[in-house]
Amino acid sequence: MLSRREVMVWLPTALAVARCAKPQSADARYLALSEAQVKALEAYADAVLPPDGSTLGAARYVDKLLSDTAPFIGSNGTPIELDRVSKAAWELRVKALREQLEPILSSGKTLAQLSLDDRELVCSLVTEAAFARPEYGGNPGLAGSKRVGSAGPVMPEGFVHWDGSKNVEQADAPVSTAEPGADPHPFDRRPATCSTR
Amino acid sequence: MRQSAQPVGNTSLTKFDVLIIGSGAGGSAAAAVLCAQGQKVLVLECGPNRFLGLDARDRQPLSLFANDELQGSRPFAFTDASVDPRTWRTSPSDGERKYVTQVNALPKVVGGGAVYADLKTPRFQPDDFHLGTLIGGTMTGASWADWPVDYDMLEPFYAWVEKQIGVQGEAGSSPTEGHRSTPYPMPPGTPMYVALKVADAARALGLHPHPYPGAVNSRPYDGRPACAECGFCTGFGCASNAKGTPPVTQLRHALLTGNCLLLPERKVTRLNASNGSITSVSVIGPGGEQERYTADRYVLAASAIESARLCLVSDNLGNSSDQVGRNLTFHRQTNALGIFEEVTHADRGRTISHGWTDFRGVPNDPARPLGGIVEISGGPQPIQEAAFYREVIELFRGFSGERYLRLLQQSPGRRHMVALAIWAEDAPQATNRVDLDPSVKDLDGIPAARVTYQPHAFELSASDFYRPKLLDVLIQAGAKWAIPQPAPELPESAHLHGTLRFGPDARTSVCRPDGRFHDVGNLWCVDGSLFPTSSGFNPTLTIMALATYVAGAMVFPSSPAQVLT
Ligand SMILES: Cc1cc2nc3c(=O)[nH]c(=O)nc-3n(C[C@H](O)[C@H](O)[C@H](O)COP(=O)(O)OP(=O)(O)OC[C@H]3O[C@@H](n4cnc5c(N)ncnc54)[C@H](O)[C@@H]3O)c2cc1C
Ligand code: SF4
Repeated sequence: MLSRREVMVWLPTALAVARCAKPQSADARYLALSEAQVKALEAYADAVLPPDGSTLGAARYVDKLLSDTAPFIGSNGTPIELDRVSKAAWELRVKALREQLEPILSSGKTLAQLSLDDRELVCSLVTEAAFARPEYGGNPGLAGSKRVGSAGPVMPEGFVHWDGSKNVEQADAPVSTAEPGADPHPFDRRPATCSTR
Repeated sequence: MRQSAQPVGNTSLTKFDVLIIGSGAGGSAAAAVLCAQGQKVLVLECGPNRFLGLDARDRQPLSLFANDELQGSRPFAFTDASVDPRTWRTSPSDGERKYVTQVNALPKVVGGGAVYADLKTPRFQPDDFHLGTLIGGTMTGASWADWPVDYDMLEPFYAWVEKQIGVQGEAGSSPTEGHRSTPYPMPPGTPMYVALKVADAARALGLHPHPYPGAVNSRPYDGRPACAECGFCTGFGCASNAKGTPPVTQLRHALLTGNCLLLPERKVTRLNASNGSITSVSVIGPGGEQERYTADRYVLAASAIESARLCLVSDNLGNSSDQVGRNLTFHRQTNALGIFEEVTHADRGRTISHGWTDFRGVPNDPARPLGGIVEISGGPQPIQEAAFYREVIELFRGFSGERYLRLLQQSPGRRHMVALAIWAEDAPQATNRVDLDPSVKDLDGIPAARVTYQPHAFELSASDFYRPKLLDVLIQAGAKWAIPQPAPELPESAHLHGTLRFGPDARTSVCRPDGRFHDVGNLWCVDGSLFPTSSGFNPTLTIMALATYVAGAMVFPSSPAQVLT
């Protein structure tokens, strides 16, 4: 349903490349982003998803995206190496990300002042940070997921378990019955029924 | 060598009876049968292997897929147009191409597209095999054809595959289904609330909703666990192997015979032929090295677009009929979205638990045009959901963090969403085809597949007919908003068929009724390419049943069903 602009990119060449290309952050835990870039990203993150006291981990997420050597994490928590073709694709994409992101982070512009394309890139990165698996650097403690009523990308549980003889649903998060309790975020106004047929 | 490229199975095999190109639904189903019959089989797969221990006897394979939205959306899961492009045009009047992009991309991994599918597995209906006779002569621009096999011939193969992969369902619940020789191996799993709600509404409108058959364990089966209804089903690999995908079912069965060797990350670039037979295949290996493999017989199972492309890049192999690549069909998707005030929580569950077949219609009945099965599902996970909100906010009001957060929390596009989709029959047309793009190439310099495609009035009118009925169901179910979804110019369907049709006449089909090429003595096809028509049902079970039939015919030419005993 949702046409999604594919902006996720990766730096598959070694960390060394990132280090050569970028000045080292004073904070050793950031490997690809400078301190100024971290600050700029965090400010953008607050503008994309207004803060509620918990951190989104946007800078950490982007830093990992640019400095890790594997673009996704397996069910066993270990990074998965890319095959020859995907690696080539990833390299192209990370190059494109860097080329677009670096000028944004040094522009001094607010989120509203960015071009539509640049704002979309920032928003998509911040959003991914907020809702992706914490292993990617963002969504610490699944705080972002919980904030929007999602169980989040939790492993390996689902909503039903087999108890040896039958499937048992979670009482507080059922699959086959209505949601228990009131909706914590009901719609603003009661919508009128509308069909655009 | 990285884990994902390592050989799996019997690594001492050096001489092969059969070489299969592609380990997807068709390739794995064929491998299972051939290996069980004692054939030594080499499977070459261009994608990586995302399982550990696929050939381990004493334990289930470890799936490396995770409940991870980025695993589904990062581009390497599907083919990436920057290194593996396809091109697209609606007709030659568009020029050489209109788009260079991901065109109907199926994931390239061990197990193929079905690994990322939610794996709904309905059978086709008996009439679906005879549309050449039933409606063929009456329509301009379409190239309807009968299948050279019918439902009765395929039925035992359907039953066999349902058992192999573990299908849940309720026999007799769909009023239009063909006869079954066996019950479903498993009863339906936990119904999704959203499906029950919509099914009640559909029933009130005279429709016949039913549990949707699917290769998802509703209970432990074949050593694999029951489905946890985790919500990361369509577009994701299953972390627990509850989904009966080819690697953990048919391919594993093949590997466990000791007669199979799987080589992942081996991209076949050419079939080398001499005197009407394949002599070897050229391959690019995991590090980019050139390799060559041989066997006595060869099987194409690279999926409808890639199998045709491989024939075309191999000096127009098998194409004396000029039919290679033609009659490409998808399924015409007609979609409608409903937003409910109530939380529908369709983001839990196995994506779809119910559907109805009433909109499949009846051949030649204008009151019930031929459409397809309807799926009841919901919205996406939050990252994808959020992208939609951004588009809407930017379009109408300008971006604001407060607005964005509020939408994400209220979540009309996920927690309150219902989505209905019809997978309707797509009229075959000779002009809808795959050929080679004249200048766009992939990473390795191999010409990209070019798709030339436009819908026929047949499916457009069926779509117009059924779309308002989808909206009626949503309103009846209590939707506050019911919205038809506009069809994109490029069909997003991952259901790909045609291109190497099978049939008795070498002038109008590429493969014979037993799946062997008319023009090439030792080459067979077992993927969706064979389909003369697309039907109006998810195709994968039929691809597997047909592949089993073709593999059966390779071993017992006059009685393929002997492999089932
Ligand atoms: C998100 C999603 C959901 C889906 N849901 C459903 C569903 O619910 N039900 C259903 O019936 N279908 C579903 N499908 C469609 C299903 O995946 C396909 O019908 C099925 O995979 C087609 O099988 P195939 O054997 O024709 O091709 P594939 O599964 O694509 O297999 C072809 C294999 O060949 C390999 N290959 C390609 N080229 C080469 C080469 N040159 N050398 C070596 N190997 C090669 C590929 O990597 C692949 O593994 C879904 C697909 C997607 C993507
Ligand atoms: S919903 Fe079930 S079958 Fe689908 S991915 Fe989750 S556990 Fe696997």
